[in-house]
Amino acid sequence: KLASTLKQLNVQAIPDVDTINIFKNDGKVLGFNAPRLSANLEANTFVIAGKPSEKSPEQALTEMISQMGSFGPESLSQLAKMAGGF
Amino acid sequence: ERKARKAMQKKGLEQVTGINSVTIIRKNAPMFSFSSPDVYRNATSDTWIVFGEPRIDNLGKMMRPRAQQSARASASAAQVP
Repeated sequence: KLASTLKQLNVQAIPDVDTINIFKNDGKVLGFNAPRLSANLEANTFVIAGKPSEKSPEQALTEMISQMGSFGPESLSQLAKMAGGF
Repeated sequence: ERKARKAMQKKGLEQVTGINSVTIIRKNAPMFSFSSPDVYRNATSDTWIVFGEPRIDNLGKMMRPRAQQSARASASAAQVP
């Protein structure tokens, strides 16, 4: 039922998705590992299919850093901005 | 987007409140991040819908020149006996 609605939305699958993190106001993070993602970029609509697991923000940020490999000052400042939310 | 929202609400999705931001990390591709998006979820099928304007952060591209530089540096270092 939902799938047919999603088809109407004209979403396209987005490949190469590694991790999706949802940061909540209470400081918790919902993490999706290798989820399926599809989107309609014009409609600003993103559809995530997958089971999230709860993790701490520290864990989420550490994972992000490890995925980036070596990181430069630009990404550090971006991380700092993100971390500023906590 | 409005149409999509309406269609979703009809399908009995519940809105998830208290969302600060959402980040989508991809391999070798620009990452998307949303600040204070609207998130809906369908508990039965574990499907989450995010509405919002994504900011595209090209962390991967920023990394690549650095990786090439260090690769070049190690290559020239290897030439030195």
